Amino acid sequence: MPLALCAAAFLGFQGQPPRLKTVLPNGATILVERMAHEKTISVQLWAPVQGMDLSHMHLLEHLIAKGPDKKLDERLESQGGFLRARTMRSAMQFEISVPLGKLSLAIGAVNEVLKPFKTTDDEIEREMKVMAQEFAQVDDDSRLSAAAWQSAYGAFGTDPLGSLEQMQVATPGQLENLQRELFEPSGIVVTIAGPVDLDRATSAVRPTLSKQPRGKRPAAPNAPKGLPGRAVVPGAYGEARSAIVLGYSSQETVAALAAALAVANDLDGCFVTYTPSDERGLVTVGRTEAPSGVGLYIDALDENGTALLFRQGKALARAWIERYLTTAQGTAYIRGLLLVQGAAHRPETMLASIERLTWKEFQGGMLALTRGRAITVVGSP
Amino acid sequence: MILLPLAMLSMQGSVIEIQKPTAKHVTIQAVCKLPPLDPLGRAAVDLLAKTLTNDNDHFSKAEMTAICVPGGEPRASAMPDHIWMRLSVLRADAAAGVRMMAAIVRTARITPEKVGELLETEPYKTRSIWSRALDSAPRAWTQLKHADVETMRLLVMRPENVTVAVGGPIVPVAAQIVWTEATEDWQVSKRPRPLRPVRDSVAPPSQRSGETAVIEFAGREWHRGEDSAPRLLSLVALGSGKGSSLFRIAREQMGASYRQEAALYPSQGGLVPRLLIQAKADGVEQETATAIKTAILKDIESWNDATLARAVGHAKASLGGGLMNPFYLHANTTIGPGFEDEVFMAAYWNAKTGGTWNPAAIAEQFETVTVEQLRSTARSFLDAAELVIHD
Repeated sequence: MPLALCAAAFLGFQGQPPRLKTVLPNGATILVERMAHEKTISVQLWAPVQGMDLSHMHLLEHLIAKGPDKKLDERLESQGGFLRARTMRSAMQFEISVPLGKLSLAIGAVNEVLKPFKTTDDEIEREMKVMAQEFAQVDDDSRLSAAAWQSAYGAFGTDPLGSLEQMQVATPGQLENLQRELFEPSGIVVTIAGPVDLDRATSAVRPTLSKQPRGKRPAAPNAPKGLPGRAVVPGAYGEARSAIVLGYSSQETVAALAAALAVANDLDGCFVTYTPSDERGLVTVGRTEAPSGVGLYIDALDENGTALLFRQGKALARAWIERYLTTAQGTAYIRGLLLVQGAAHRPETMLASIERLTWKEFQGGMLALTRGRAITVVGSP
Repeated sequence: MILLPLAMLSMQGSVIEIQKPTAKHVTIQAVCKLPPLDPLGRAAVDLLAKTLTNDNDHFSKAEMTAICVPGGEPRASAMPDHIWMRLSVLRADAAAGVRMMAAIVRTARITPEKVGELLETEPYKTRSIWSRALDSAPRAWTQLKHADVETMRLLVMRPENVTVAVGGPIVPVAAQIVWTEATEDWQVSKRPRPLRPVRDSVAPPSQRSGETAVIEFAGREWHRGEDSAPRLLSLVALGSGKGSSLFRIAREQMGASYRQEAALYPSQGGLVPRLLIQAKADGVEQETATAIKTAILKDIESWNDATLARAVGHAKASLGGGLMNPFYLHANTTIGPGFEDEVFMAAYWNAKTGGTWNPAAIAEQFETVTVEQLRSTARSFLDAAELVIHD
């Protein structure tokens, strides 16, 4: 009998598909991916922010990440866990990493973040001091990227970092309401990746999400057509070029990403920024170690030069996505980021587009980074 | 159920092998120990690292790029105590990858043209304030010549200085066999004389001042054989993670900083414990630093079992490269949780200490540390720490 039970357990594990997606009656989504060889479990809570007032969002993130009793981090870290939160253009993310066997610890943290929170004017004032420090230390890569967004998309390209002036006047009531709106269940996604059983992990987090009160979620606006141009960032150093792209799986987007990665691979010290989105966005390649050179390099590429970069760029684009899928943290991130933007979105779609990428399309991607078609951003120290 | 070990670690002579059948690629890494370096030596090592992965006697850079997986082309970087070289290949190319690494360490071509090209850009690169705080050692760029870089190569790239580790879906012992074959005729030249001493005082390259500065409390260097458990735990309690004193006091209570971390930074003789606090430059003065130190010393007196438990939990996660760990063993970043860093730690620790990197054994020692030990070690650190303001 014991042998049969062992065999059944073994076969049960073996018989599971790699992942399980569950949509709850209130619209919240749970995605669990089993990664048997990982050493940590990643649990990530995603809430869409499109269509919402972003002016206080970053401040809200700071405050709710502490948990209702402000001791959430201490409890997590005592057991080897860690919580990190981020506000992006499309979503707010809470990422919790825990050691093996501590899934319930991570789900408990999700539960605490979701709880209706209370804050005070004093707490807001204290956190705004920290916020001012954060603004002071934003690096030049981020400043160049943010300027490119503003130039291309205007108000739609508002930096998720927010504005100190707007956050300073936030009231406790406004933030408390914002949290309720943010965690309206129909848009929430929880992704779990690591050495977990699909059914048990899903069942473990289901009660937390099921009890979220329903509300009304604003519709996400459509992004305007991006416009090429030029932006100057006072006090920053370096240069960047941003290609205007469509959704993450379009051939134009993967072409621009492949081109940007090929450029960065060839030029020392470059960065590439792209956050997969179902909406229009930007692929940015830049360098802040030196004052310029990225634009010159891109504009000077001829057909031969571009041809040499095609194979490398395509392989780098593939590796860029695959790298996410090799760790629990990366898997929970990329799947959560895409799912929170729409139920059908998956990284495999982007991979398929990359596989189909042709030389002609890659040329188009490189063209999208050239002066006149891209946004050129320069720092003015 | 039969449990198969995920990774089998074996050390076979000079090549450390870490088998991980589920890994997608084979990572091949070499760590080269460095001698004590003055500003000229630091500059020479920086450029050596930048030129090692160009052509060598057996492979051109283009050939190596073609063999390696995308993103896994040979790379090298320098820290105060080591140069780290790494590349990644498909399983079928493991032997070629090992031969490539042997060629890099033995026969890299350091051309005057490349050195000249780098001397036009390296001294002028802009670095973030955090990067400058981590590595503030001066470099004698204006005195550096091509011959110095070549001399440095001959000084350090010697069999006794190089530790190799190979990890991934590899056949046991195969990497060792290939490495032995590829290096059995490694004839090193007579050890050259060390680089000439620096002539004049070395002016740091001008860097633009930004909006932030970094306050640092720099501790005394840790050496092998010293009791690491209470020191590591007290460093974590002081500055690693959001439950640390630095985070609670400098950020949450005082609002004086957004980013603050504990760092264990490699030095010639060991590792240096450091507390780093990034803050708006207009608020960073001696008084701010003193206020933070005073507040932390007071906080230490309130440390209790919960403080110790958090430090132990976070330290254990840190040993595996967890988020916000203090092991700043790479240029500008800490070690991560991925397999590449697991292989790096095997090579680095062996090169550094002659021993095996064994996080589990270190974590076991944590259980012997008491709250009073934690407090007294932290107090000693802060009392003896040197205050530096990087701006």
